[in-house]
Amino acid sequence: MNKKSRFLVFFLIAAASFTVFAGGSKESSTEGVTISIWHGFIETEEALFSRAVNNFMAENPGVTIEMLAVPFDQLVNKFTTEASAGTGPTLIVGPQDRMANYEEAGLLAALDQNAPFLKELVPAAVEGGKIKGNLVGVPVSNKVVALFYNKTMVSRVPADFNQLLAMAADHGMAITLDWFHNYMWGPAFGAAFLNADNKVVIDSPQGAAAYGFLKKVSESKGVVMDGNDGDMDTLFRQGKVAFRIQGPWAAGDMVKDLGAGNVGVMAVPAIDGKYPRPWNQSEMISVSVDATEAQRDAAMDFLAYFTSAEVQKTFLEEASWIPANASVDTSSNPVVGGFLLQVAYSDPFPVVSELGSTWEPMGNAMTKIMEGVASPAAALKEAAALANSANGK
Amino acid sequence: MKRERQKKAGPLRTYPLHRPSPVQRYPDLKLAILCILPAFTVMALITFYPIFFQIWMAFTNFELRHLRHMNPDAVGFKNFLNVVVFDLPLPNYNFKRILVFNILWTGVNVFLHVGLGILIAIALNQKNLPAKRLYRSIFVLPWAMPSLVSGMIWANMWHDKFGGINLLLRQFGFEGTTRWLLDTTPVVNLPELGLVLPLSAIAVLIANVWLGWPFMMVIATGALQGIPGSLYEAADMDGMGGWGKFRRITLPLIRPAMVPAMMIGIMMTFNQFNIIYFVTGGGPLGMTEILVTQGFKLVNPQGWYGVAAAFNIVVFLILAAITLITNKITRATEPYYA
Repeated sequence: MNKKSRFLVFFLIAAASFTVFAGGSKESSTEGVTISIWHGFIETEEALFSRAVNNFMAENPGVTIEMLAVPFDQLVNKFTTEASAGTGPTLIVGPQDRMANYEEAGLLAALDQNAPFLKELVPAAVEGGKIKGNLVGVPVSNKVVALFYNKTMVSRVPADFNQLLAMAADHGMAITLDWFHNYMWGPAFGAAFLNADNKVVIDSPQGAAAYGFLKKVSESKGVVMDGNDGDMDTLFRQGKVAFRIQGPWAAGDMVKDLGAGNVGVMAVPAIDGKYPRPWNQSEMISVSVDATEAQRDAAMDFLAYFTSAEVQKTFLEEASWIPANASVDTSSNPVVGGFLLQVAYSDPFPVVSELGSTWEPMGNAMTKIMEGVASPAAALKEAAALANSANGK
Repeated sequence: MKRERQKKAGPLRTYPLHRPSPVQRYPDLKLAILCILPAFTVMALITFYPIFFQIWMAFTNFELRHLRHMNPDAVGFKNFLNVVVFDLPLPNYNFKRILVFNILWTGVNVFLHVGLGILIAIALNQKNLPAKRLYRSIFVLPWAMPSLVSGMIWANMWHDKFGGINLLLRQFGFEGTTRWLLDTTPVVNLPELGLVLPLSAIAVLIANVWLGWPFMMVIATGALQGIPGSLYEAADMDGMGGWGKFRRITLPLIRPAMVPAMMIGIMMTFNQFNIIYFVTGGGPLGMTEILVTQGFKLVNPQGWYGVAAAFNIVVFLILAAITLITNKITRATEPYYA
């Protein structure tokens, strides 16, 4: 190797070393910090979120926020894969249940539980952001599915479920065929989903009765049940059905399409005196464990801003979000008022890692029951066995 | 006697006192190694390392949580046994059923791709056909389009509520809504053979035939243009009919081009991820799942990396066996002398 070649090799090694070690230095303040956020918002929510982020950047010129919208169903895989490889975002937005798997994979940073802005939030929602005593998610809104109705198509609200079915026969009702939207029927028939050991126990006579009932509902005149959530929303937004069981995330788009005064929300009516109880959970924002100190500081500043009464009020008014900030007055928004009625008849969402293995078997069971491929008892038994086997229960 | 023994043993060999080193024997060895090194380094990083990593992963309980801290436990052949023999705790998972459907899917598709490709190539090869080039350009479009885009388009076309196919059928007076991709009622019901096929199997087959035949048409067109016209003229003089010319001239002479194309077609169709995943998603109830889509689902959403690695090694072995058998039967890689 001649002198020139030796010098070249030395130069390349030196350059590579500088490149590697340069990444290791930590920024010490929020001046000139860039943070990234991955979210699954679409349409109205996405526009509002972008506006909030831009407003924050205008108020905090030292912080740059890069947003990436990822399809909701792909967000978990993209985040877990990329964050595990150290290339994930600083902040991740998503429903509460996803945190358990992120936390188990060691991807979330423990946040300061004494941050002043947390005191303004609904205490139960903040508690929901804790796993094993660590705060790993900050709630930004509350989520529960309820019954939307189109006021231009129906002049009164149904008093019970039989009345709802009778009205749906004339005006139509859309239900998403998946497990998340249909958990609610089990509790109305006294069926438990998970026991204290987080074992799936839905394969009970009560469970079979609940989903046998849902099968009858799906076969009722005017009821449309399909696995494509967006299609079901479209039917309601286009005025093709008068009733839709859906969560507040779709409220902004429904109000935009049908008009603010034409969309009503109420609790899903009782079946023989017992109310269906959907899951009640929060939309959370978590911070990546890979965030630098400066990025964590900037992220906490953003979370404080995003959960402030001012921003939460905007989301309440324009997207019908149920605010996480306890000081926001919701009485002016009848849509949110409807969701709050449902909150009284809802179950807390189980933030446990075992839940991850239940979605596919339970969704599959719902399809089998509704398609008539298996009886409710057989389909639930198979789903429970698969989920428990995957969870080692 | 001694001479005879020496004759049997061959000429006497002499050995140098010091065996020459490889550098002495091959004076350009250093240069050769230097030339190969960059390519080898790249290959080692992007090909050999992932392969060995996957093989290692297949013998461990590698899951999502191990992506960050790579300390999975060794599990021996457990993953392989679970994949093939004991079945995984997943809804609708049945390795044998998926394999049977995968083989049928490949066979039917390749048969239709090749058949249609040759037929249309012959039609477009007619002397007096006007606007041949335009037809060829239009027909090649499905192949030129990314299969992901084709998959999305077909999924929308088959959509039961808003899809073009049902809208078209309604124009022709067919009332009601056909649930092309959702109906679980079998249209082929041979459970003893592991074949229970819903309407979506037909829908996805049509989508993939649309996508696949242009490739075969392009290959067949190239081969057809290499056949001397004098052979057909001689056949005409011998009074040979159209079918005879096809069987005795066209088919044997396009065979050297078509057989390797078929081999590629088999491999591509066997692993046709995009069309299955984006048109049916393997549904309904996993009835149109093929091995490669199932393998993907073991990672996303399950996060079972070790199991997925074992699964895909099994798929590789199956595809290698199919390729070797097909190669043996068709002699695709042997030199061909017409």
